[in-house]
Amino acid sequence: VLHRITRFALLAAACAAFPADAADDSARSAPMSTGEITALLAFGPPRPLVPGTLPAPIALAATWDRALVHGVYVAAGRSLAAQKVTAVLGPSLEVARDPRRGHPEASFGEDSYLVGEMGVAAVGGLQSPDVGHRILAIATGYAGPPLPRGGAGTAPMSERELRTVFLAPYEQAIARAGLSAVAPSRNEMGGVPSHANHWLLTDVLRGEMHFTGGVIAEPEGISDLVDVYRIAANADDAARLARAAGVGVPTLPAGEVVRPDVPEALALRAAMRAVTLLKNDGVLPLAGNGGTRPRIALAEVGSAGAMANAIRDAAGERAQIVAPGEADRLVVIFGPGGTAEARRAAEQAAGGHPVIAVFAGERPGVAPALAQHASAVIAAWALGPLGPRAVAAVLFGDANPGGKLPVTIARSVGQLPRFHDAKPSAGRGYLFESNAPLFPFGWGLSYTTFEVGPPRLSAAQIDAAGNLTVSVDVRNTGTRAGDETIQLYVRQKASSITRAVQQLAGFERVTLAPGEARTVALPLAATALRLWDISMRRVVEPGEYEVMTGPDSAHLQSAALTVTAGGKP
Amino acid sequence: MTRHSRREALKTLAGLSAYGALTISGKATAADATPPYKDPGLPVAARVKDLLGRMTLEEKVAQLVALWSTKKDVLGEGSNDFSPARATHAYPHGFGGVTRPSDRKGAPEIPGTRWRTPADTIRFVNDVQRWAVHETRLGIPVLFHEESLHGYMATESTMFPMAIAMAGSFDPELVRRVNTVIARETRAHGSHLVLSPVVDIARDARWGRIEETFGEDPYLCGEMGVAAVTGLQGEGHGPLAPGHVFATLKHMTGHGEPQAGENAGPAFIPERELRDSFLPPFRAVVARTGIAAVMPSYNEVDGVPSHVNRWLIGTVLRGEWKFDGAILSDYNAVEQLVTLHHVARDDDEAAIHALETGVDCEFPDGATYRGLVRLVRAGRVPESAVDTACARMLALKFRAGLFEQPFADAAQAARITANDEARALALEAARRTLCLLVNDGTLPLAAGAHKRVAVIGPNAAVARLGGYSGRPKHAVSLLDGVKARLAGHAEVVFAQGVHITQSEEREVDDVRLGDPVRNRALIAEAVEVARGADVIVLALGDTEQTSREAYAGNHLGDRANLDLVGDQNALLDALHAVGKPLVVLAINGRPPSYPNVAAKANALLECWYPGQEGGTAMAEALFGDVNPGAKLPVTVARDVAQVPLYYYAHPTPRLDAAPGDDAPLFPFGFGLSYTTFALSAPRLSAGRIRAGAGVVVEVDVRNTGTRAGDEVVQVYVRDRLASVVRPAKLLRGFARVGLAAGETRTVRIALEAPAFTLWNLAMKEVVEPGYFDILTGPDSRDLQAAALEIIA
Repeated sequence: VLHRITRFALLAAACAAFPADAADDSARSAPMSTGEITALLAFGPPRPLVPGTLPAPIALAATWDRALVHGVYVAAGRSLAAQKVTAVLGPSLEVARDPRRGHPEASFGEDSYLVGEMGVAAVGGLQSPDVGHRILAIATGYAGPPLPRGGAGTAPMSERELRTVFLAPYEQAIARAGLSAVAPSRNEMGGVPSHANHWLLTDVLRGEMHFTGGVIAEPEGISDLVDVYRIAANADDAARLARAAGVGVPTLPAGEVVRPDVPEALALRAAMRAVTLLKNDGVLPLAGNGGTRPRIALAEVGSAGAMANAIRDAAGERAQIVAPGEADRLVVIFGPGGTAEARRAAEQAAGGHPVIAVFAGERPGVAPALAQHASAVIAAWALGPLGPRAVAAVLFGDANPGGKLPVTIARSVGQLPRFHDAKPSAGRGYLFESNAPLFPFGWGLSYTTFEVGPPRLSAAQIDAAGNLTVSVDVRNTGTRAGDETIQLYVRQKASSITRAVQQLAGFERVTLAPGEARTVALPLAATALRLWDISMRRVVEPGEYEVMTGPDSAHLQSAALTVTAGGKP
Repeated sequence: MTRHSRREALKTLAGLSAYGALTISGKATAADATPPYKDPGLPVAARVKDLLGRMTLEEKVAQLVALWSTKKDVLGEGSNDFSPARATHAYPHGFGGVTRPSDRKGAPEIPGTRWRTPADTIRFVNDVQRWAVHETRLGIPVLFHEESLHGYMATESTMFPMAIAMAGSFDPELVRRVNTVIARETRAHGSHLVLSPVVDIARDARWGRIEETFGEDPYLCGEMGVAAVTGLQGEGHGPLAPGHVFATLKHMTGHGEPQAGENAGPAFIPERELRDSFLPPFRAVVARTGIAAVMPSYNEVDGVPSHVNRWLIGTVLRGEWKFDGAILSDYNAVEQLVTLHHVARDDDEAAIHALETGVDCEFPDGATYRGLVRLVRAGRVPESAVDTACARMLALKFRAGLFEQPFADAAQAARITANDEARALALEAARRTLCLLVNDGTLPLAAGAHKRVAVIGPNAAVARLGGYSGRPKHAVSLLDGVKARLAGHAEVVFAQGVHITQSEEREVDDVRLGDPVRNRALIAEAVEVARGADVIVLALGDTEQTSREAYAGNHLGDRANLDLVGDQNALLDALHAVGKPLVVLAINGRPPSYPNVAAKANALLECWYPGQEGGTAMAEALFGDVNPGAKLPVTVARDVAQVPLYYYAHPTPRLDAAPGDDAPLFPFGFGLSYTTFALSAPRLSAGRIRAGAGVVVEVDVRNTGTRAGDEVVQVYVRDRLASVVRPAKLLRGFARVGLAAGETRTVRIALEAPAFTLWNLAMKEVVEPGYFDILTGPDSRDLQAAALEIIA
């Protein structure tokens, strides 16, 4: 029937289904029907969701700022709507536990809860009524470990781990943000490619998560069944398998990339909030430390874009930009594609003066030796066109960094995968090198200092239907305004199924003036303590738990929580 | 055993002059004219039932525990000798087993002395058995167990090549013969149970235990496992024949792909992959041998530690496979349910969970199972669970003939241990496990053609035996072997080159790499030695410290880097720069991910840990007396970033991949020879078969070179189209053949129905009709195909 409907009529129908003045949560959480999705796609194939003027998802995750991320995606949606885009392939809700897999810059990091929170913010933003016309957000990567990059080996994935880690973000985006569509991942698990996985696309997605939206094939997802996986003899067979599994909309060629263009102030703010200070022995900020005018040399390793120019511009009268031989500080900007030789040359250029290492790109590729000898290390992610200005502002102290790592930085590729929410039997250690992360998940420094108190629980005992508030006092003990992110982790002391040594269950980023103290109150519901039991039912087990809070995943203070029998979650 | 053979057994006993006072007729026999359980003429089940009915709860629980560090409670005060009085005091109800009687655990420490002498071990075993038989109420003998991965792990026994080396022989009959000798030597010292073989598929070379495995391939691990168990136990399910021991299949399962390569780490393996890859070796052994025992693995799979995995142990092992032997815990694994996995709050909960899961016996010390008497009395676990476990442990003892003859004879042990026959077999095994990976024609060397031969390197002058090794009476290093081989032909000069580690003590916890300053000086010395020589033979690799079982956080053994450790690459580079022919022998238990060596050496011979006669075999191979014919039982990665890397990984799209990114340094099944072979394309006995039928694959192999040599013809199966994703190929058959120069033979390999099965979406094992490619060749990369159609 589609051919009989004019494009205009379709658009009108789509807009009517989503009144522009509907701003309440119930309207926002109503996903599109498959019919509406098909109608929208008639306007053109889904466009790959790319950052455009925005920081990449990994950088947005480093802000640990749900409201900011929501706002950014609303703005992105507006820009796309203005460019007549109706459907986007993205955001990805994949969980990036191994940088050898997937596109690390396109994910919200290694932690299932953080990806879920950011996913809800992003999907909610894109699909928000504030966008103007309706945009179809297709959450990609459903589900499991992303595809290997380069020569990395394949990773098996079992059901309980899949549910616990990889499915949860989709469930959150469906339940809380009215996610309209998912695209299956291009991987396979247990011999079943996701595009042909009835259990994944129908039993779990529809049956358990009550998803009513669309399942849209990845551009090569169905042809993979013939060409890669050899479970279909030809394209027709493959399409039939995919349809039977629950793919509602068959393969569409990906449309041309359209870059969302968001207001500069917002993009800059997002970039500044994403910059993550990993190390600082006091060399930063470069200006404002006692009035001396530093002589700074700049070196680039790899393609660092406009970073050097932005630093020159930001320096102004506060610092001299000089040749390496005359400098007393060396800022080395590491971008994608840097060679080992270039690295060594840059490091040698320091001539004994402090080195400030800035890592631009999807994941800071910090080597342990550099982390050791650099005076300061900054993760500048893939911040977009305004990234250089944001980094320059941080270097000179115009902005106080407050980003936190959305991933664990391992010491070497031979230690992968390494993530914070590992099982207790993981990580026994290696000969000849420490397996401790170079920088732990949730880590990030500030130009000011904070004192973070222990967690106080509003109740030391709850039942399976209960909830409580975890309060943490945080005080800015330094002399500048700055941001701290209080993170909440939980752990069950003994359980019927093994559990992670810590599981992120809440966070809040706060800004404090010098000397200011505040109590951060984080809600914690018993449902956050659920596990998938031996019969693959999701239950809260009575027993002893630890509630842990702190400024990162490696510096936590703990309080005991008892969950009593009874109560229905 | 018949009554007649029981009399024979008693006669044998009477002949033990050293224990002339021994007699098997205990008090119980005198009081009660041969209770049924002491009647060897009755079936094992009847004897078990009778004995169980006579036992108190305390006596039953005692059968589920062993003594290790707790041996101290049964040794005399400050003594290494068994004390019946102290044993009766500490264990009034007896004890079921003793862990590793050959070590001095529990005895007063003497620095540097880990072992008992063979005679002392046998005296200890006999003292314990005499006490158990005569001074416990029911006279139940004790089950002693030992490690025997590649030799009876004690002193003066024969040490064979490491398991991964044996797998590379692609010669199951050799594995069977070697394990027959291992069994004989172990049994002679009074133990009736060993904790081997390891049939874990190993898929991550960072894992230090990779050397203990038969490699990465499920079929090869299964074939070698069957051979090893048959060698250890003998054929069948019946009584244990003289000279044999019960084997323990380990570690079930998922142990061989721990997260990030760190030992005992979690495995996230879905059920179909478990059934496709991890379980088949265990299943093959259970189906084809009388395997007595299975050991669950330390690790968890998808949140469930194996010692409490009821699906694995109950549904699959005992249910689907009908395994009727005993399940033995890995050392401290039940305690680790509390301390490592946190699935039990305390030892009591751990004991209950493990027992109810079906773990019959707790090693090494029964730390938690000792509480079972109390737990049964408190109603927390039914006595029937203890009865079931006890019955299985008693069945082992009856099958072993322990009630008839529990004693060992020191004179006989001395006579048959490490005798000429055993040494000859160790040498044969070493010869057949050498694997030639690189050769530009430099090998073989002609003895005497080079007047001065430099033997250099940290693994040249020491006979490295690998983990789980005892102390053999003698062991031949490469340097010894080359000197012996070249005596009268050429001068042999030696240089250490580098020290890999600072100490050579195998058991040290804290491993320290050799001092770089000292190593620089040693490299300079080695270069001088090399300059004066005509050819360089360089022995590199690992040591028993640098890759090993990481059994605790303070005793690590896994690695985050697969290349040569320490200053060995610097040594190689320096010697390469000398410009003389450079032959490298890799001596290690971990696959040789040594790209620098592969690029610079004129020849690279992978020797693994070749056992006590390795030095002789390596020298013979260098000088062409032996033609290497082994193949790699693992895929060798170029770079650690590739792991997990194994040849049968499921196909997958890749991001940002350049062609060859996932290519290994050396493929699975690869190995060269000093001669050359031509292999024909495969011929099938039928181009079309019915599902459930088999097919015979024929390949003509011709030795096209000028010396005799061995080729391993490998048969892989590829399912062209299936309902679930299948690997690009799977090994389903192999045959190692020896051919004289110019000789041609036709190798016939039968593929039975299981070669074509898969686990479908309904998790049923089926053969799906359709087209298959039968691929044959000398390794997993260079294959020729024939099409096979399977019809419904």
